[in-house]
Amino acid sequence: MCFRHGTRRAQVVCARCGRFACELCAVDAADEPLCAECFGHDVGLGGPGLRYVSHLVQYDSLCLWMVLLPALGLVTAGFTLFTAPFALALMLFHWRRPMSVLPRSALRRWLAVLMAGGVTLAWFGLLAWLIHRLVTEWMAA
Amino acid sequence: MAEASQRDPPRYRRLPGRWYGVATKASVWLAPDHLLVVERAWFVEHYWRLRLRDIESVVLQRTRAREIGAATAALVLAAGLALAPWPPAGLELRTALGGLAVAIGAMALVIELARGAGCAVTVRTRTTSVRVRAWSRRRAARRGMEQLCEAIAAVQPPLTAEQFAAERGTEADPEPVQPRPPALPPVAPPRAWAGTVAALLAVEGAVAAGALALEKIAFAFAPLAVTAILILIGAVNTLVKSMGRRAAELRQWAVAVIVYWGARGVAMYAIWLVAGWRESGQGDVPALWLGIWSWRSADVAVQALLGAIAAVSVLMAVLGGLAVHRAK
Repeated sequence: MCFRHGTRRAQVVCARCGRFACELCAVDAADEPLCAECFGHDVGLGGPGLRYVSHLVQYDSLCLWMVLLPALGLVTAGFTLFTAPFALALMLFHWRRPMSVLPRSALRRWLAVLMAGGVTLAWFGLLAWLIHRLVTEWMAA
Repeated sequence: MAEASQRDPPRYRRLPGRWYGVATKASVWLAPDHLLVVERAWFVEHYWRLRLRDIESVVLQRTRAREIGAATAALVLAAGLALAPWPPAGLELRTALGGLAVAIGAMALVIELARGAGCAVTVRTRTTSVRVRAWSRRRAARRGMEQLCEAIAAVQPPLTAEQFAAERGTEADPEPVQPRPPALPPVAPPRAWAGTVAALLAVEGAVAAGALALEKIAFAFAPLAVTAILILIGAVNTLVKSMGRRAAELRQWAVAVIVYWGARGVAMYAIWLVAGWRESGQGDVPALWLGIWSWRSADVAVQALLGAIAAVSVLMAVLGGLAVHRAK
């Protein structure tokens, strides 16, 4: 019986997880039968399922702009206190995710991480220095 | 089950032709077994795959993209020439703005003319039609189509007489030719109107903020003139594009214009409240909404420019309303 549909007869065994899948759940997109879940996971990791995606989010460009755009303005540079750590976390979370089905350099990915990491470190350093100074003054007083 | 080669990622080759819009980009790629049409809107890439063996026709239609683009560029050029005094009287703001408009207009005009005549290409299979936005100019489209047709010919060998007869049926009982649907549905870029609105607002805001920071004068002549020129360019560009496109795209542009002016209205009202103009009695909301920030202090040239903006705004609103009414 199918893992998801208890009343349907299983047609294939998923090559990844070994679950039984009926003809509704089975995906024969690649050269091995997959269940829908494994197919989705496979797409996320840039496997053969990538041939069938309709769209992809380019997190590398998004994160890069999240750091660069506020940093360009003198007034808006303060927003990087929030955008840089968020961009860093977003980029690291989606690090293994394919950003495009087309040939794409990893330069943006590295640049985004380096810039977001650098700005985050700078902010934390500044905050640490301020706290240290405040504590020192308070202790002296 | 599919063949083993499907495990390997397809190797794509970019075909000639690209299209750039506001925060959007389109290109077209060829794999050994399929054509990939790519459109990028902000940070999302959308894909349309067309198997070479399924492609039935590639249709190229002539458009007036070059003429419309060149006319827009010429308009900007003329506006710049009208704004800039000649001979230049020192390094004045008006001279600088006029010179900037002239430079942008001249550059855009040369680029538009160099890119060649416009076209719209649609690739059709039995079940779908996909507009290849990257092929918006005939020269690039023809080069790309040549490569595509070669690839299609390689996977679709010509039918022998026997195969043709078998496909067609017996000679005594030929299949009647089914009429094709006449219209080729265009594929509009995803969420193009949102990108247009955001980009227009961002550019306007950035320029106004920059001018404010440089001049240290709140809502004075400098940001007014710069913003007016930008709005005029954006509005005229939107207008001419709307006139030259099909209904679905016209709706998108109309929505973009309506939302843009709505968003501007909200922003201007907020500025009006925050800046204390309400108390001082300077300006009113309709004038602010149209981008007329300091009508009384503006000179004749700027007043004429603002009058043109107001006229274009009204026209855009009417066109937008008509488009929405027609769509319903």
